[in-house]
Amino acid sequence: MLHLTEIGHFALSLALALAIIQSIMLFRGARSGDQASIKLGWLSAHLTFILVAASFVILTIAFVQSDFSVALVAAHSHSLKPLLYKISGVWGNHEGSLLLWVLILTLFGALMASRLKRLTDGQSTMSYALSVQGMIVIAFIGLILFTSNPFERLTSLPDDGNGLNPILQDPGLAFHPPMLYLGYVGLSVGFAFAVAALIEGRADANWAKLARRWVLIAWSALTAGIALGSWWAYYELGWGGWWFWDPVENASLMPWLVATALIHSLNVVEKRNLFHSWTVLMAILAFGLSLIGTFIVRSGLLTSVHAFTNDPARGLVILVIILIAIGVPLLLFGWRAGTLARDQDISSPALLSRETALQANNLLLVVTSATVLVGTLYPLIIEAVNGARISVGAPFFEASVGPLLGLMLIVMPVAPLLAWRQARGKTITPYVIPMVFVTVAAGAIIFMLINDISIYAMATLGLGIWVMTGVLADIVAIMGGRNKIFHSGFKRLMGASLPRLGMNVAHLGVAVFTIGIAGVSFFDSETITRMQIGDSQISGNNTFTLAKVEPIAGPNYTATAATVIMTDESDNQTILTSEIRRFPVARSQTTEAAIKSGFLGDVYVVYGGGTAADGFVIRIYQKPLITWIWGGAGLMMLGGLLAMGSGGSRVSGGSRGSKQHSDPQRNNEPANRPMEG
Amino acid sequence: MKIRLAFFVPVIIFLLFVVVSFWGLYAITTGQRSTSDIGFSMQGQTIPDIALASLDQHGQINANAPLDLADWQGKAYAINVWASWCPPCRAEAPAIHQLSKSLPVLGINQRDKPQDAMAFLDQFGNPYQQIGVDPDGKASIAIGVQALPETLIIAPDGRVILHHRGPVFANELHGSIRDALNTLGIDQ
Repeated sequence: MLHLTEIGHFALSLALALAIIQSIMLFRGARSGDQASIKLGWLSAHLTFILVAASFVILTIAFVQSDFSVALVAAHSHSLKPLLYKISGVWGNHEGSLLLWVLILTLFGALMASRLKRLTDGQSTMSYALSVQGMIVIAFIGLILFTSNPFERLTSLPDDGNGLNPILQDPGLAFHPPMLYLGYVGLSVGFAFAVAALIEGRADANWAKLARRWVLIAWSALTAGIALGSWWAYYELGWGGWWFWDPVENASLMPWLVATALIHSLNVVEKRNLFHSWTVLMAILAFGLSLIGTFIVRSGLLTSVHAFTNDPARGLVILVIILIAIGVPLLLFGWRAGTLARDQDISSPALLSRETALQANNLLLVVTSATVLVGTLYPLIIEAVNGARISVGAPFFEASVGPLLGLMLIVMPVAPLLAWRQARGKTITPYVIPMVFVTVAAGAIIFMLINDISIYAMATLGLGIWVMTGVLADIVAIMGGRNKIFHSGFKRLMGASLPRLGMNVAHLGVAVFTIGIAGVSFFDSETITRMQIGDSQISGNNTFTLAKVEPIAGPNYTATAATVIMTDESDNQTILTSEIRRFPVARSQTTEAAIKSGFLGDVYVVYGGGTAADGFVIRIYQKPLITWIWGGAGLMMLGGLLAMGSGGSRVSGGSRGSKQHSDPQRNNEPANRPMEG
Repeated sequence: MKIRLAFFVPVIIFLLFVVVSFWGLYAITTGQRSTSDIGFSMQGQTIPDIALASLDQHGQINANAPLDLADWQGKAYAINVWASWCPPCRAEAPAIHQLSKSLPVLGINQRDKPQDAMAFLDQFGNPYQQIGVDPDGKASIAIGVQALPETLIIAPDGRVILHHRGPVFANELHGSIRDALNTLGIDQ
């Protein structure tokens, strides 16, 4: 076999050496401006990526060929597995997922390096950032080589592998970890820029512009990754839940919240040259929380339903990495944060201004993230203090996180309408009054249509609508306000800046997501019943008839499939087949729900086993608007990607030249605003 | 350059996190604490003596007639830990009913409001011989519960012969639970 595995191991070791060169040379180059050092660092960053990619491909080949002489393959794969899951098996375990993590890390390093050459301004910032990026690569390759080597061989060859946990054998989960890692690791770029800013003592508009796109792509990937995981849990676990407040989920939510704050505060640095130290802190924390999340998942510190490994020794190594990777930058922050603000506008923004609104947004997001962190670690803290053991469940998180996010949703739609520095009531009232009117009217209609609607359901729905009116208002503002909307509105919309359109798409996503949560949390229903073949059951507006229960065979499992025919009010029939799959190799089973998805929600049917004598258990769930949760997340991701486009108006001259703007954002436009695009 | 103390607040909080985490891991390696202290498997262990105030059929919490596991010694029984706010607990309700036909099932109602728990029992039926209330989750942790729902099957000598995590569906009834009942000599 050409000893491919050993070559992979060697390539990874070589990558470690090159990452060290990358880190040292770029630091040196950034300090002295020595182009030869920068060039060498540039080359090393590319080569590190190529070597890590080679070792990743080699590990994948070992999985695809079922080379059971490799310990990792023997432990996590099986010759009967379908090809897709042989490949996803590479990252379905601790060692391989770390390698994927490093692969993405070095990919970002290579992308940063190729940007470095094209930069004229900010080359030293980018070099420092890439040097820091190299240090992270060193830590993680070191972690792999010294504690979690995926290329370890077995001395005796097993007949076949252990198989992959069948619950992970699913397309949703094959792509969930890579997406999530793209997000976590992408945040390392923002982190590297933050450390560079602290070293240079400068975090100005130019710095924010350099960092912005990296943070946006990481945030979009993180959004998609979390949504994929939630979607997977929804259809795979078989009882229709989509968020469980498990430590592992919280570990992904915390950096997402802080990264959301970071995107907004970067905007203030870029446009108003304010919030420097805060923004740098957010960039450090966003990645720091990603690392802490990884640590929580892999150390065995907390119990979670989907912890990878419970290895405290390995956990201590990760803790030391975190201590250095986050502790040193935070110490640096304490020492240098005071130097970051330069040429700052000394007149502080008015109470009614976009700065204040974004400050509120940032504070609420950070407090929410801190609440999730405290809730997640609380059992550990209490145990350290007095030895008592407690658990924190979903009720705590719902009661604390819900109101915090609700407060944020109140501010959210107004913020984009406010001008920088000082917003004038006169320019925002023409927008805010119709927004309030539409929200109240929509609320009244809902109140009349739905009997016995609870106050919480009403509030959640109302917030979703409120946020939606904010998006509409900003679109109207982009189109020139009420006076010009029919005159030149379309042209203005086409010429609007991508970041502003992206913001509106993402905010629309939040609105859709909120309405989805309202639907599924307050209006869901479930029917759990025992049926004989031919029995019917009414649930919601549909009739469900159990047609048959029969055994079927899959590629590496056997299953029992129950077929239920759903008949709606107008006699349309839908066939829903739910399965219980048994995986003989892994000696476990999974439930495959049958889901009829629609714009207004899902019907979710699960076969719960049973016998002809006792009847078959069929569970029918109505999940109104649940599709809006994934749709909302998709819009947020799309908005993040759109916002990566260049800022400023894409039509030169255009609306900028006209004398009287009805766009409230444009009032008091700072004179020193950098011209982009 | 001005150094402000406030800028050091993040690093101080972070160091506190590291200290707590280090303690958490170090205590595991020295054996003082084990991750299994929360959410350990009771399988093969002896069930500890637990006495809980009970929830009577009127939804009243009654400390005078507690659910005391010592009373059940010498009998085979099952413990099902549940709550009204737990969706998979609803999903497993038919299977728990089925199980209650084979042996007595004791319910531990965790972190719940009595009126919510009663509404749950009204909707899905009450398969429990006795219900103990565990308002702060301490009793659940003492028997290794990680996340709701969990079900344990206990032999007359107090040994846990099955600790099942997650909902019980009819398939468990025909698999691991049937095996456990067979060990006890109980026919389903």
